[in-house]
Amino acid sequence: MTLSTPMIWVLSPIVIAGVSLVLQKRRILSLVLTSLTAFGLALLAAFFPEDLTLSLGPLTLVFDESLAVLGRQITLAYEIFPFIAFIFGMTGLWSLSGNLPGVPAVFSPTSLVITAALTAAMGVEPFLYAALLIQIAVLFSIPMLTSAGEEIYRGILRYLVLMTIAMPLILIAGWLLTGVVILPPESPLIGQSALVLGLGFALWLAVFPFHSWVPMVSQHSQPMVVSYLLFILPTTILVFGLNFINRYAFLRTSGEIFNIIRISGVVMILFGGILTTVQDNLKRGFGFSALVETGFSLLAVGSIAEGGLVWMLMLFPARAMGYYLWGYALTRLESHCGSLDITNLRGCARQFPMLTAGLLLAQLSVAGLPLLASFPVKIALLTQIMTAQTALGVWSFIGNLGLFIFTIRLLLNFVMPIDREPPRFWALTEKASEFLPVIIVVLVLVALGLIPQHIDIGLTNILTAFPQLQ
Amino acid sequence: MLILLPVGLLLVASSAIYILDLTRPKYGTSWLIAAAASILAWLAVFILRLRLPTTLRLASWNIPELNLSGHFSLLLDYDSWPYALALITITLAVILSDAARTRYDSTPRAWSASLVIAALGLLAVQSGTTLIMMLIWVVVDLLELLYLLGLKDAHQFSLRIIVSYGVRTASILFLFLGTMQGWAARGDFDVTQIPTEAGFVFLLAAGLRLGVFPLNLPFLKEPTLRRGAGNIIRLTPVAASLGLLARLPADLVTPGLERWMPLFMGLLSLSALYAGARWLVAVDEVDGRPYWIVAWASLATASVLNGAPQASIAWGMALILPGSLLFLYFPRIQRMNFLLFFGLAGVLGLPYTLAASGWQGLAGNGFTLWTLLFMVAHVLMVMGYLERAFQPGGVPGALESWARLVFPLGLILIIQAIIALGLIGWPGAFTAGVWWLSLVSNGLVLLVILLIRRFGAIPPYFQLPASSRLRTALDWLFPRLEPVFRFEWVYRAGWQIYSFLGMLLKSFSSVLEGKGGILWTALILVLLISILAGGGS
Repeated sequence: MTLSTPMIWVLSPIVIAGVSLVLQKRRILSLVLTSLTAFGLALLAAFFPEDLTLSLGPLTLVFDESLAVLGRQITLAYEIFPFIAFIFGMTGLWSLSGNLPGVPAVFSPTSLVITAALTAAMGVEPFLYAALLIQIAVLFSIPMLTSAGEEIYRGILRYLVLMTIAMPLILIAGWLLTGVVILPPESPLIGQSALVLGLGFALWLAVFPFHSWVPMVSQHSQPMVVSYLLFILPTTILVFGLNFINRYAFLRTSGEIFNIIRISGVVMILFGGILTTVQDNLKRGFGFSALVETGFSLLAVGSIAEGGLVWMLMLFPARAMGYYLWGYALTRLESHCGSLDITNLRGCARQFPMLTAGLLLAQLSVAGLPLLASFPVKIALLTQIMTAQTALGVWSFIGNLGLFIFTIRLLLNFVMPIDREPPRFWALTEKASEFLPVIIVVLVLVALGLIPQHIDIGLTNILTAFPQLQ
Repeated sequence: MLILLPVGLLLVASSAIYILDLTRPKYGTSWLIAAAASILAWLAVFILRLRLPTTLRLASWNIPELNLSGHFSLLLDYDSWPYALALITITLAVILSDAARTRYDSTPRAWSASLVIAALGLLAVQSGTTLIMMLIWVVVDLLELLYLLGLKDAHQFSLRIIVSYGVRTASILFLFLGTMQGWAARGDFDVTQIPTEAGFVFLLAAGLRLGVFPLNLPFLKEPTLRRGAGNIIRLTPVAASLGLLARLPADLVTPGLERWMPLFMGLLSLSALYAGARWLVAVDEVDGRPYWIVAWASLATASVLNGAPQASIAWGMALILPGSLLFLYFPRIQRMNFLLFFGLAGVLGLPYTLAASGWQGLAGNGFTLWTLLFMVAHVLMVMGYLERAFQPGGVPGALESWARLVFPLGLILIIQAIIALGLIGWPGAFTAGVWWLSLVSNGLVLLVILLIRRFGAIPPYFQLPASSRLRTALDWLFPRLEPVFRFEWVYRAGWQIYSFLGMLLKSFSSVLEGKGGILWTALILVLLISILAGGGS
C-alpha cells in the first residue's frame, strides 16, 4: 500500500478519534490522545518536506499526495500544508480544554473528526464533493453541541436545517458552473449560478439573514464548543471558497460580485456590532461578535484586488486565539458564577480577576484594540476600504465599535459592587491551572498585535495553491 | 538610543522599588531609588535638548507581502521636548515632595506606579507615529485602570473609573480612525507630517482625552488620588494628548469644516469659561484640578483650531507646571508660600514668560468674540491661582528634617522648569507674544480683585463671604449647571438612541430566532434579492 498525505491528515485522525471515543470514560487518556494527535499532525504538516519524502533513519517513506476513496480523489498538496498545520494546531489547543467543566466528553474526539472532514473537503476532487464533507462535519458537530440527555433545542435544529440547505445549493451551483465556462458573458445562467453559489456560501457562513442559529446555539451550548465551531467552520469554508474564485474567471473578474461581498460584509459588521452592544448575555454577545468577524472576512474577500485575501488569512490566527480565550474564560466563569447574564456578573472581577481580565482582553483583541492580535490586520483592511469606498469604511468602523461598547458595559458590571452587599475586595481566587492558559494566550495575542511580521506561520503561502489568486 | 535612557531609568527604578516592596519593604531605600532614577532621567532629558531633533526607529510593519503598513518610531524635537521636560520635572518633584507627605498618600507602591506612568508618558509625548502613540495610550490607560481599581475606596467610584476608561478608549478609537484616514490620504506618515484630512479626527482624539471636546468630566469625584501619584496619573495622559495637539497641521480646518468653526469655538469657550469659573470657586486645588485641566486644555485646543498649534504648547505648559506647583504644595507651610508666586510666571502670559506665545493661538486670526471669551477664562484661571496662592500655610515643624530640604527643592525644580522653558523651550517661546492682550487680561485680573474687595471678599483670599448674595447665588447655580455642562445628558440621550436602535434590532432578531424564523428568513432573502436585482424591473 502506498502511503499518502490524506491517510495522515484525514484517515488517521478519524481512527484515533474512534479509539478516543471508545476510551471516553477514561477522559484524561482520551483527551491526551486527541490533543497529542492534533498537535502531532500540526507539527508534521508544518515541517513536512516539500518532496513528500520522510527519512527516518534507514527508513525512507515516500508519500503520495492523493488517495482514492469511493471513486473520488482526496488530494492534499504541499501548498495547503500551512493551513492544515494551523487547523490541527488549533484543534489540539481546543482539545486540551476538553475536560473543562461542562464540556461534553465527546468534544475532543469529535473535534478531531470535524477537522479531518474539513481537511478532506479542502482537497477532494471533484471539489464539489466538499459540500458533502462539510455536511458530515456539521452532522458530527451536533452531539457536542448538546449535553448528554439534554433535549435538542431550536437553535441546533435551525443550524442543521440551514447548513443542510446549503449543501444542495453548492452542488447545484457546481453543476451549473461546469457549463458556465463556455457561455458568453451575457448569458443569464452566469448570474443564476453565481446567485445559487452565493446563497450556499451565505448559508454556510451564517450571513445575514441566515445568521439566526449563531446566537441561539451560542446562548444554549457550551462556550468552548461554540467557540471551536465558530472558528473552524467559517475558516475552512472561506478557504474552500477560494477554489471557486480560482477556477472561474467570471467570478474572479466580476467587480459587481466582489462589491456585493463587500456590502454583505459591512451589513454583517454593522448588524452584528449593534446587536453585540445591546446583549445582556455574554454567550449571545459572543455569537453576534462572531458574525462581525465573518463580516470582516467578507470585507477582506471583497477587497481581493487590493490583496484582501492576505488579510483574510492573516486574521485567522488572531481570531482563533481570541475565540479560544473567549470560550475558555466564559467556560470558567460559567462554572464559577452560574448564569452568564451580564447583571449576574456584578463584582465578579474582584473574585476572579484573571479570568475576567482574560475575557475582556479576548473581546478587545477580536474587536481590534491596538496592541492586540487583530489590530494590525484590521487597521490595514479598514484603511483600504476607506480608501476605496469611504462610506463602507465608516460604517464598518461604526459596526466594529459594538464590541468595544459591549466590553465597556461588561467591565462596568464586573467591577460594580453588588447592591446591598458589602463591597468585595480584590482576591485572586483562581488556581494557577485556571489562569495560566489566560496568561499564555494573552501573551500570544500581544505578540501577534505587536510583531505580526515575525509571527507569520506561513498561512499566506497557501495562496500558491490557487495560482489565479496570487 | 539616548532617547530611551530616561524611560529605561524610570522603568528599572520602578521595578526595583516594586520588588523591594514585595520582598523587604524599606521606605527610605525605595525613596532613594526613585529620587536617583528621576534625577538621572531629568538630567538626560536636559542633555537631549542639545541633540534635537533625535529620532529612533523601532520597528516597521511596512511589508508588501503582508499588505501591512505603519512603523514605530520615537521622536524628540522642539514640539515634544517641552512636554518631556515638564513630565520628568513633575515626576522628580512628586518624588521629592512626597518626602513631606509620608503621613498621607506617599508609599513605595505609589512611586513605582508614578515612575511607570511617567515612563510611558515620556514615550507617548515622544511618539514618532500615531501607531506607537495608540499603543502607548492603550498601555497607559490599562495601567491607570488597574491602579485606580486597586485603590481601597475604588468601589465607590467604579462607575466614574469605567466611564473615564470608556472615554479614553473612545479617544484611542479616534486615533485609530485618524490614522486610517491619514494612511488613506498619504500612506504611512509620521507625526511631523500629519495629513490635513486626518487632522480634525486627531484633534477630536486629543480633545476627548483632555475632556474638552466635547466636554466630559468623569473624575469630579475621585478615589484617594490627591497629590503625589495622583498628580502623575492625572497629568500624564493630559501631557500625551497636548503633545498630539502641538503636532497637528496648521491648516486643519478644511473648507468643509469652516462653517462649523463657530460651533467648535463656542463649545470650547463654554468649556473654558465654565471650567474657569469652577476652578475659581473650587474648595481646594485638588478638587479644582479637573477644571484646571479642562480650562487650559480648551485654550490649547482653540489655538490649534485657530491655526497655531505651536501656541498650544504654551497653554499646555501652563497646565502642567504651575498646576503641579499648586497640587504638590502640600502640606502648606507659611514660610514657603512665596514659592507659589513664582508659578504665576507660568500662567500670566506676560511678555517673555512661559505662556506669552499662547496668545498668538487665541488672537492670531484677529481679535474676535472668542478671543474675548478665552481671555475671560484666562482671567478666571489666574484669579483661581491667586486665590490658592494666598491661602495661609502651617508651620514647618510638621516635617522631618530631611523633608524640609527636599520638599521645597521639588517645588523649586518646577519653578526653574517654568523659567527655563520660557526661555529655551521651543522656537518662539521667548517672545512678547500678543503683548497687549496679556496686559489687558492681567489688567482685568487686577480690576476684578479690586471690585470683589469692594463686594466684601475677605482678605487675603477672593472668596466671597458666606453671607454674600453673590456667593449664595453661585452656590445655588453651579451645582445646577454642573449636569448641564458635563454634557452627560447628551451622552445619555445618545446612549438611549443607540439602545432604542438596539432594541429594535433585538426584536427583529428575536423574530428571526422565533418559530417562524425560517419563513421570515426566506421572506427577507426574497426582498434582498429583488432589491439587488433592481426591484424586479
